[in-house]
This record gives sequence, C-alpha cells and structure tokens, in this order.
Amino acid sequence: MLDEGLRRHARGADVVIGVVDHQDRAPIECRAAKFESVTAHLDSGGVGSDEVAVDAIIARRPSVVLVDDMAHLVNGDNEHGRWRDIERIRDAGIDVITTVNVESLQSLGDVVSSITGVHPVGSVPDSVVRDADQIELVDMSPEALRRRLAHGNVYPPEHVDALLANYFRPENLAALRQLALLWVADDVEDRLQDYTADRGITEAWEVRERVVVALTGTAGDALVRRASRIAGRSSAQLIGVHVVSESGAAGPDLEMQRRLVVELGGTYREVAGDDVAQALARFAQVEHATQLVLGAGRASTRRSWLARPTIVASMLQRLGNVDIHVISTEAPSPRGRSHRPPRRPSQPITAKLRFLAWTVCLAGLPVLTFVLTRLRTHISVGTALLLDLTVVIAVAALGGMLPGLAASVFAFGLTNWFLTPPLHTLTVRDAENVVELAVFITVTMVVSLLVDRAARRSREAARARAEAGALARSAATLVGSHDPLPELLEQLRATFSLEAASVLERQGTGWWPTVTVGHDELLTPEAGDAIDLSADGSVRLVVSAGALSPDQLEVLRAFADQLSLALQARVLRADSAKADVLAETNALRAALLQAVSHDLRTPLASIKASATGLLQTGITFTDQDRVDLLVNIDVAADRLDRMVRNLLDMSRLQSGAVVLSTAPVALEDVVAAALTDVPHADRRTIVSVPDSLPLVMADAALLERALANVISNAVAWSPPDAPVRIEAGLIGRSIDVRVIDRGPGVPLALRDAMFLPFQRLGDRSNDTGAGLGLAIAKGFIEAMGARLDVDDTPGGGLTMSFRLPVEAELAGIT
Amino acid sequence: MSRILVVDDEVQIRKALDVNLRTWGYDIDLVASGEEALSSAAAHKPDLVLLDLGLPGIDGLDVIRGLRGWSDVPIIVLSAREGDPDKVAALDAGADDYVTKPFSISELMARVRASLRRHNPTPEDPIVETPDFTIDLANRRVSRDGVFVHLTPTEWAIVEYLARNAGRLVTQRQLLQRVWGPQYENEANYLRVHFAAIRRKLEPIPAQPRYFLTEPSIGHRFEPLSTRS
Repeated sequence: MLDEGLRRHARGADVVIGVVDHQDRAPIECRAAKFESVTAHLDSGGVGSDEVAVDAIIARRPSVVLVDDMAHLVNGDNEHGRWRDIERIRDAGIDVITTVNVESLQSLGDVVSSITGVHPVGSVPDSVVRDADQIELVDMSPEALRRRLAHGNVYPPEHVDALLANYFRPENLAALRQLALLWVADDVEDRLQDYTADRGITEAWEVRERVVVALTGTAGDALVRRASRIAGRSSAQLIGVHVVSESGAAGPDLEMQRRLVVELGGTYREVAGDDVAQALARFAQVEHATQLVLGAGRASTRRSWLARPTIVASMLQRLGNVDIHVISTEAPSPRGRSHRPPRRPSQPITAKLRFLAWTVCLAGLPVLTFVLTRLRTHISVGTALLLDLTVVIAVAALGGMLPGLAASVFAFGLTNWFLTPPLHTLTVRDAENVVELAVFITVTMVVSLLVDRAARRSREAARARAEAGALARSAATLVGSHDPLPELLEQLRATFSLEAASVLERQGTGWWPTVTVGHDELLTPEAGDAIDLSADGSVRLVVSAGALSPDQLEVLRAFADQLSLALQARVLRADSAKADVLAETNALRAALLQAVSHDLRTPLASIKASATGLLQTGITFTDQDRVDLLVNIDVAADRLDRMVRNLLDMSRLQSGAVVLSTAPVALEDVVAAALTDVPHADRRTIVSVPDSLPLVMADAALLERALANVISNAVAWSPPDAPVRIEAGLIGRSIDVRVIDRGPGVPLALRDAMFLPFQRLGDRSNDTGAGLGLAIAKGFIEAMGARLDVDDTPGGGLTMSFRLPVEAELAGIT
Repeated sequence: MSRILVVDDEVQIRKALDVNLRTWGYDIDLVASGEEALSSAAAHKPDLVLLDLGLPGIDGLDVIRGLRGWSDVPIIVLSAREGDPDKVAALDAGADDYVTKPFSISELMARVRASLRRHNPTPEDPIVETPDFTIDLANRRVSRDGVFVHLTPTEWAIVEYLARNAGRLVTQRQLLQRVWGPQYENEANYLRVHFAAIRRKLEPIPAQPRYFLTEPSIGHRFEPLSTRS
C-alpha cells in the first residue's frame, strides 16, 4: 500500500495517509513519514487507536488516501467497520488505497474460523471489496511469511513465538493462501466477463444462475454463507427463502439469516404452504432456480424437516433440472436446541390421521359390535346405535368425510345384521328400530360432512394466515423504504408462488404497467386475474390467471390496501418532487428579481442622484463638488456595466451558449487583464505568476472573466491590510492557479451553496455584486474542462484553485 | 439651517446626497450603518433623517423604532425596491415619507422641504386653501367656489386627518385606525368607497385626482397645491 502510495506520489498525485498501522516498525514508519497524515486519534477505554478522520480528509480533498485494514472495527463497534468510512471517502470522489486480510472477507469468515480455530474480528462484505476498481493480491509463500515474522518484521518480537506456533502454522497459512487465491481468481473472472460484455462480445446466451437456499431459522449463519459461496462461484443470484408453514414455527436465527442474505447481496423471501417440500419446490420452479441448497442438521435430525431423506428425494423428483446441495450444518446452538415448535393448534388431516381413522373404523366398529352382541339382553338397539355414533364421529373427526361415511355405512350394516331382530338378516322387524337406524345413518353422514368441512376450512384459514403473515411482515420491513411498491409486489409474487404480477393503470383506453414483476409480463387486466386497487377501477393488480384459489384471492384483496398505500405514496412523492422543483425555481426567480432590482438600482440611484443634482437650476456647485458628482456617475456606470456583463455571462452559461475557443495563452497576461476589473487591484493583490511558466490551454476571455470574479470575491472578503495572493505553479503537465485570501473563510457546509447564483453569504453587503461572480467563475472554469476547488487557507481564509493543462508541445519538454 | 442625517451604505449615494444637500445649505452628517445612525442622531440631534432601508447590521426598520423611542424627527425612507412590504412597515413604524431609488434630487429636495415644514409648523392655520376648494378645520366644513359641500362624518374625518397631515404619506392602516378605530385596520376596501365619494365631491376631475392621491397598497396623501410654500 505504502509502495503504491509512493509510486503515485512520485507521479505528482496528492497522497495523504488516513491510517497506517505501523506497529512501531521502523521501515514502515520511515516510509509513512513521507506523506502528510490526516488521522483522528480516538481514545476509548484507555486504549487509544488511530482512526480515519473522514470529514477532515474530505475537506482536505487529496487525490489518494492510504488506509490500512478496512475490516478494522472503529471503537470495537461491530456495526462500524472501517470500510464504512472508506465508502464515505470514496463517495466524496477521493481514491482510497486500502488493505484487507483474507479472513476478513465476510463470505469466508466461517471457513477461516474452522481452519484456524479463531473467529475473525470484523468483516467486510464481499460486495464492497469486489466493488474496488482494482484488486491486487499481496501473495507470499507461507514459509516466506513465517521468516518475515521470525525476523520481527510484522509483529513485535515478544509475540512472535506464540504466533508462529498458533495462528501462523504453515498449514493454516497454506489454507488461507488458497482461499485468497481462489477468491481473487473469481474476481478476475468477473472482471474478464465485464470486459467481454463491455466490448459486446456475446457468447452463447448464458442463463443467469439462481441459487435458492431454504432457511428454517436454525443452524446459524453457516448455511447462508455456504450458499453464498456456491452462488459466488457461478456469479449466481442468491435467494433465501423461508417457508411459513402452519405446523412449524421459524427458528430463532431467522432474522439473522435474513439480514445476512441481504448483506451478502441476495434477496430474501417468505412463502406459505403446509407442505414444506411442495412449497419449496414450487418456489424453486417459479424463481427458475438452478441450484437449491438445503441444510441437514446433525443433532436435530428427528425434528428438522430438511434432514429427512424423503424430502430430499421428493425434491429431486419434483425438481429434475435443479441441482440440490444438502449441506451438513453444525448442531444448532444450545439456544436453538432448547427450541421446540409450539403445539399445533389445529391439525389438518394428514395421511397419518387418515390411516388412524380407517383403523378405528375397520377394527373398532367390529369390536364394539361384538361387545354389544354379548350385552344384547341388557341394552336396547337405540343405546347400541348411540355408542356406534360416538365411534363414527371419532372416525370422521380423525379422517374426514370418506372414512366418516364409510364408518357410518359400516356401523349401520353391523348393527342391522347383529343387533336388530331378526338377527343376521338385513330386514328389520320393529318400526322403532327402522326409525333408529334411519336417524343413525342420517346423523352420522351429516356429522362426517360437517367435520370434513371444518377441517378443510381450518386448513385454508391456516394457510391464509401464514400468507397474510408473510406479506404483513414484509410490508412492515418496507415501511421506511423509499419506493416500497416493486419490493412489495415481488414479495407478493413469491408468497403466492405466482409466475408474474403487475400493477396496471388505465391511461385513456389502454393500460399502462406501473410495476411488473416475474417472468411473464401481464400488460392488460384480461391477461390474468385482476383486483381493483382504486375505487374507480383505474388501477388494478393483475396476477397470473388461475394460479390462486378463491381464498387466496381474498387474502390478496386484503393486501391490496397495502399496495394502494404504496401506490399513493408513489404519486405523492412524484408530486412533492415536482412541487420541490417548482418551489426551487420560484425561489430562484424571486432571488433573481430581488438581486437584480437591488444591484442594478443601486448604481442607477447614484447616477440619477448625481445627474439630477447637476441639472438643478438655481444653485451653483463648487468645482470640486461638480467633479465629485461626475466621478460618482462614472464609477456607478462601471459598476452597472460589470453587473450587466455578469448577468449576460450567467444567461450564456445557463442557456448553454458558451462557445470555447481554446488556444495557448500566457497565464500572466490573463491575470494582468483580469486585475484591471478588480477595484484597487494594485493595493489589494499580490501576484506571483512567473512568466517562465509554459503556456496554458484555455479560452483567454473566459479565463479572464473567471479569474476577475474569483479575485474580486477574494478582495471583497479580505480585510484591507491582507492582500489577496494570486499564485501559479507547474504541477506535472498542468498549471495550478491559486487565489488565496485571508478573509473569514467559508464553512464546509456552505461551500456548495456559495457557487449558486444569487447566493451571497452575508446578504446586503454592497461590495460583492449579486452573488453571480462565483457562479460564473465556476461555470466558465468547468466549461474549460477544469474544476474550481475550494480549500481553507492554512492560518485562516479561503483558497480557490483550479488546474489548466499546459500546451501540448511544451508538455513533452517539461 | 437644518441639519440632516444621511444613512446609506452606498458610498456613491452618500457622496451625491452630501454634495447636493450641502449646496442647498443644509448641515450634513453622513453614516453608513444603523448603529452609527442611532449614535449620530443622539449626538447631533438632526432635524431630518434620510434613511436607506437595506443596511448591513441593524436594519433600517430597527433604526426607525430606535429613533421613535425618543424623537419625533421626520424620517424619509430611501428604498431600492418597489412594492416592498418593508416600505409600509417603515411608514407604520413611524417614518414620515419614502422615496424609491433611483430618485431625482429635485423630487427628494421637495420631500425634504415638505417634511421640514410640517415639522416646524407656522402657528396652526385653521383654513387650508387650494385652488379648487377650501377646508375650514375650525368650523368643520368645506366650500367649493363659495358653496358649502356636504360631507358625511366619515368623509370629513378622512379629509380632516389628511389636511392636518398635508403633503405627508399616511398609510392605509394609520387612516383606518384613526377614522374607524383599531379593530378596522385591515379593512382597506372601506377607504376605496369613501375616497371615491370625496373625489366626486371635491376633485375637478375625479378620475385624475390632483389633491387626494392614493399610492396603491401603501397609503394616501393630500396635496394642497397651495401657492404658499
């Protein structure tokens, strides 16, 4: 890192040190001392540590910052890895050279800890590292590294022996080295692919791999990390799915797993279904999964559905074209082990229960009938039928309609044959018995039907509850989201395992898709099942036709409110954005009018007052007074002219009418010309622009206007006894021009605002014009392809600088 | 001779006013900020203040309030913006008149003279004479070409108040407060109706008033146009 920094420094880059962890090693300290260091020293709990001074670095605006160990935890805070600071610096447009140890890559964390036995402190999401412009592997053979350690080049000598015997064992180092090489190899492949894609090299169309990992909320993070690595190897998209089944509750780790999936760049979904395998298979199909990752807990094989071989087999059967990985996971944590699924509140009819019902029906009824024949003399047929009724109801309750009806007929037959006189015939003698049997058969049949229907209802209700729960949870997580609609619709599609879903808006006679998700595009309400989202039917939710049962459609309708809200939020947001723009435009216009009215009128007022004074009849001015009034008119006219020129420049810039005529010019000439426009330039400025500088490539007129404005501004804000310095120097192949004042400076927060037109810091001051000067200077300098930078003047004040390229021929010489 | 305090942050305006007012024979104090204005007014007791509203530091409005705390010196406001709500606020705060930049020196001098005259009145003259009509403040009646003109009590109240402040800009708010009472100070439409009636009765050409002038959304002014000045 330091070597790369030195190399760039030598080429003229502005390199500063953010943090370098020198561990008191002399060679590093010696090299680090060559750079300016912008470091914050934090002192927490008696242990001081150097941290990245993000704001100071952004304010300092170097071109490159060196930062050691991006996985370092700032203040030991798990949520605040140093990489977050680095991201902020990069967001500010500053290059960062940083380092990361292989064990700190998030996807490798558990592998590393299983190799080394040490869980790494702090980790960096792979996506952050892969996002780097360049990745360079600093590779070294394990032996060489151990030698460096032994020489005390890496850690203080007193620690070395212990380290060599533990963490830095040759086999550990070899394994870590392999991991690092593989990871970087992946990255190189990605970049190659990006390159071929950029160059329009199209190979055979490659189906995007999609890795689905089934999550139960147990077994910690290992499963997710494994799945992420599987996905990473084939640049696949990672999708975590949790099946909300009514018979099993989620494990304690589900939230952590969800977060991890998202952090690793994947998406998380919940789907509902009583049959987990079926729901999972359906999800995998709808999502076009190419690989499915299942976990098999060793310690909890009896309870974990994933572990059952039958489920794996049935998945293989259902998903012929999907690779299935069964990952052995560690025994769940003690917390996980103590977890028991809650007692099932209402039992849907399963195969097991149905079997039990048939057993009771076929075995229980004959046994009961046999007992009753023994007791025939003591009890009536009616009593016997009541006892039978109990059994039949039990069968119906267990097994549903079919076993119930069968038991009813069977009990009727048995009673008729064995208990009603005449015995062993199906004829019945007593009218009373006929009635009893008739009532019996009717009652049992009705009961069977009712029990069955109740069971079905409860099953449907449970499923609806699970679906609604999944949707509500996802909706809740999206409450703060900027535009929840697409994500909400995606979750809805996943929950109901739909091929596609879309929200359509009526526009004239046709329909316009607001959001569509899934693989088919549903572009008209007729393309699928439609649900109104607005009262007048102009906004509709459309889902794949025939995919949903009426009950599911009900749940969907309830959920439509959520979608409507998201839609409204979207409309409101668009409106408010529009209103913001309008308000801004209006505010700008008002500012323009005020500024123009004040700043044009002020010199006009002195012209008018002086001229009308001179024109008065009946009084005589002294010569001196007359000259004063004429000078007054002259000065005010000049000011008016500057003002009008600025306004014209501004309108040229704003209408994009700036035409560049770039040519080699001598900077010192342009500076001299610019100074003629600056009031009292002789007293208030010190110019040190050597005439030995090479010519710069610039539009002389634009450069002069820009410089005049920047210098005038600096002069206006400087105390009279502190002249503004104008300096220029050659840096590499460009000339750096700096205008340095010792005025009050500008706070960091206002530095963007100071370049907006009509923004005058400290309003109503009369010397600085309408606040157009800096806006014009910035516009002109940017039109010439340069950038106007603002910095603090060391010791107080503001320094504005920009760089212009030197003339091409001379560039070769210098 | 009268002493005038000029408060303006524009060096060229100060210069122009200085040269002109001095030539007209006034004594001049020139200051560039509100703070200096207050201390200069306290030290030199000027007879009139010319005050720019847009000042660095304390605002022109605050200067008026500061002066009005202890002095009834006439204040003429110089304002760079037309239709500026600050202008009405300044008049309500106690300024006597205003001039919009850019102004001609003769216009300014006329205002200066009018304000100074009002402030040092000759013993109250109960008769206000104009070329077209005569207002008899003592007997509460108006005559035009020797004939008494009937005015309603409200019309009389308006005419009387304006005549007693002849030449001075009276804001709508001041007029309403004076004639109708404090709770009516926002009912500007009352004035419109009564001014129409007054003009019909007293102005030679009511559509082009010469005496009862209205400065839209600011106030009213009675110009006697008398030959005595």
